[in-house]
Amino acid sequence: MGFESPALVAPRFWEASNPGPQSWHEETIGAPVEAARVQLLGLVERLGGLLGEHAAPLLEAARQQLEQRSCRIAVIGQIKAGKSTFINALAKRPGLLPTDINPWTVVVTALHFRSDPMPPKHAAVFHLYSVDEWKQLADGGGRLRELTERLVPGFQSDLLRAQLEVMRKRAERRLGPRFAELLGKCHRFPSVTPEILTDYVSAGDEGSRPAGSGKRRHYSDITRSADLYFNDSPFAYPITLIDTPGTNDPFLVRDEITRRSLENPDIYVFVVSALQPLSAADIAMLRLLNGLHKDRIVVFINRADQLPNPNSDAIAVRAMIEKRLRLEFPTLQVPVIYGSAWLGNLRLQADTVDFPAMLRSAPGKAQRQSGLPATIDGPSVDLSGADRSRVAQAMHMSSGMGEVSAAITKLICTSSIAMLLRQIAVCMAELVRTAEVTDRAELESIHELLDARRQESAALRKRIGEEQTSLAAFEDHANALQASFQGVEAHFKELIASASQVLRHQLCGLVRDFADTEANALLNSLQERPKQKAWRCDVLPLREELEAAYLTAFEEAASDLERVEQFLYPQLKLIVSALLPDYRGNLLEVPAWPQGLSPSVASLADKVTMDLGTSWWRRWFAGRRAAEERAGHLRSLIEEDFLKIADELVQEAEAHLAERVDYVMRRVNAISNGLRTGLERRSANLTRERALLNGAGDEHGLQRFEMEQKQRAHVCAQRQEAHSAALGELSSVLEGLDIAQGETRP
Amino acid sequence: MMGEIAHPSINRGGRQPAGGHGESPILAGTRQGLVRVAVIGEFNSGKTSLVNSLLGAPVLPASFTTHTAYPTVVRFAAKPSLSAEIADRKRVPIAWNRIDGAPAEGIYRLHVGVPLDRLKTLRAIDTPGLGLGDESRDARTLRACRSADTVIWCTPAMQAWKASERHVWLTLPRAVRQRGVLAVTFMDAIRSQSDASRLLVRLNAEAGPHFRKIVTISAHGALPLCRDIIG
Repeated sequence: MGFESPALVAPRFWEASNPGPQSWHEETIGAPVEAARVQLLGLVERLGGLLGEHAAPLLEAARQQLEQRSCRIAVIGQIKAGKSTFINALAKRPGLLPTDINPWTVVVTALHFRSDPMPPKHAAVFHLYSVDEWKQLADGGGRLRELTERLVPGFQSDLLRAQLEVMRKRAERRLGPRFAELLGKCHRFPSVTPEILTDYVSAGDEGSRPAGSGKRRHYSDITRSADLYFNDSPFAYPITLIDTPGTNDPFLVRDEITRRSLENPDIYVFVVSALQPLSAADIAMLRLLNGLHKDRIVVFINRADQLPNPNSDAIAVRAMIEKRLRLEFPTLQVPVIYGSAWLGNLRLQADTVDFPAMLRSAPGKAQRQSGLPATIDGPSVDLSGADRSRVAQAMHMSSGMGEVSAAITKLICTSSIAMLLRQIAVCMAELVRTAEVTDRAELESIHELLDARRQESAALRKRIGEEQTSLAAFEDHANALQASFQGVEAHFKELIASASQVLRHQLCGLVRDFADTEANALLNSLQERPKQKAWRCDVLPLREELEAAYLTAFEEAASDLERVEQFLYPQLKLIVSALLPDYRGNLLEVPAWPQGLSPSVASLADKVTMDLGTSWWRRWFAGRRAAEERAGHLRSLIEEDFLKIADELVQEAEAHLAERVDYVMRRVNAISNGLRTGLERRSANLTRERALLNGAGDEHGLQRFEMEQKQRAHVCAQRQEAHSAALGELSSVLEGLDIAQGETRP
Repeated sequence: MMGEIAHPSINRGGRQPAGGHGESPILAGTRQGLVRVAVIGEFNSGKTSLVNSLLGAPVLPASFTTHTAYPTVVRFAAKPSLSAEIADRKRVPIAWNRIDGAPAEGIYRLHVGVPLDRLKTLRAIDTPGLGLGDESRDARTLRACRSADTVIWCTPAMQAWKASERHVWLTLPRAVRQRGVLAVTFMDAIRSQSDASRLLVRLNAEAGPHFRKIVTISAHGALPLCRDIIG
């Protein structure tokens, strides 16, 4: 059977008008930041020997962050959007995570990828619920139960109770008498297999284990967390992919687990189905992420292969989603990419599976519209190697996985990861410059003393006197520097304390006002229609108000800190230049704080009583109570929920600001310690010089001393060379990061 | 006059004979020989396609990208007609090309008259998709089902029976739900028979108690299914 189809080299099955084999290259996620990370790690090693004791803690902290901090990418979306399939395609491991026709992933699973010649000690680690956690979950249903209980005391959701009962009985039946002793355990495995994953992270019916692999063990009901480790990473930068159970799950317990797992990833990939893109449930989820994470979301429209007319539909669906996003979130600018994780996996298996047959079985018309069906009619054995690779290429383009990888790389280059690398580079450069300056001063002092010695003892005595005076002044300045650091730190702390007080006051005020307004509205409505049985209190406006007030107040506090920094650094510079007369001013630049690096507003996403469905509110009305009492109850419900949230927000802001101050202080302290080290070296030298001058040494001793001085001068000069090499490298790292970030801006 | 649908076996492209014995018909409850069927569900769940297959002809435009904007009543008429119902139950003629895109204010529903014999015994109401975030429109849509003899809830096979669907369905009066049929649409998107039966096991457990029965619909096999229903 002939196989010639120019359509196959098109970048998309359905974008044949946009040819470009040039866009056929594998995207390696995070390559630009990885280059910076590797360079910085090398520099940490080198500078360790160069900078001395005072820099060691800072360098060690930098090393740990460089080695351990991975980019956390959470893959989120509704049930059956294809999240696990997407992760398999992105990680280039088809079939890694188990997928199924029913909602299948029940445990939040973190996949840690890191290139390392040594395989990880354990490839899979599963933590099971502790006895207490399980008891709380199985008896209560966690937060949801707490909320329903508060709304209608003594009345438990039939559904939730039934579901929990099912889960508890199932777990006990499946795990048998061992059940009790399993709780609180941690299971580790040297390798990851589909069987193990199915056992620990998949829901599911009996007999769903792959055939011939023995009886399935059902740990998933009692698994709290799953971590998988891989050392042969398909990504450049260390990446942690987080697979989540879908939201909008009719099994309420799973829905709860997912909402709790959205803590602070660096990037979110929001997977929606092309067949039902951006439903109200999707929008609700985006609302939760909006505000804080605007610049960290990629929307992936999955299942484009299943659209009836992929050529026109996928583009139309994307346009529709973009329009909807602009309407709902005018400030949100997210890349929207369409594709098919199924095709992504298929092309990864192009060498082993009969993909023409798979393509023919596809429900959509992707293959028919692309020109593929006309040509891929025969069994795969008919395809030559070149044809196979062309089809694989077309499938890769159509899968959209390349575009997603590129979008993620762009986000990483502007994320807190890139910020962290930048901070480490800047901090190291400052340490090196400090060392450079002190070395230069030391070198000068050695040369001057040697010169003076060559002349006569009177001149030498005079020179030593001068040096002594200058060192004393130096010491005074250094002390003043240290003292002013302490003053500044205290001032920073006061600022944070007052800012958080203001913030708390403001947020609590908003909550109380809102609770009053809603309670009054209910009261009025009940007085007009005493028989009414439904009430809906929309807390979205309160959430939005809190978020806006919170972020504004935080920005203000941050800019207060910045003002102090703006004032602090020039002052410090003055002291430093008094210390080092030839200092040229490239120390202690005010650090540029990344814009929009706000604290988490995750607490705002906590489920509250008001989020419960209408049926709950109907039950709330079932009891006979006076209108005033009812309104009062509503007020206290709102206040209880949201005052707690406000408190958590304030704590979060405090922690965020304190961390920032901590960084500033560590940085200036390292500089001041660096100066002090140089000072101590010179002072020790001077003491010996004076001792020699006072006749303590003989001719032989003097010669040796002179040799030593020359040796010291030599070491100093060598250090200077190493410093300037390191500085050159650091500035190239920063430049690289700038370029990577710059490329992401239009 | 009515056929039956196999349940929970899979109806794929008419390759299997539909309608086992001993199963209840999808369209129950008639009045003067006329069955009124309302089709509801979230957006893009295959409602319009299902209506078309009930009619046995592509009467209504079905698309993934433009959504049905109004409740649309399809009934028998000697000559094809299309009118918009505005205030006070008044109807004015309208053209298809005027009702594309966003819903216009002031139009309550559309009435389509088609000279199909099948419509002598069947009146179908297609509805806008639920779950696009417009609650008042959703409420109007749900009101359209109150007078129907059979209410079909469409759920797409690949993302079937989400919490949001159950939530909306359970807000309907019990009397309406008792006339409910869950139609699992786009069943041909499921690639294997065992997947399909496992999906149905779950749906029977999670949604079964809320419906009179569950049926499956394939995009390409819908026509024979309708013949079975209407006879």
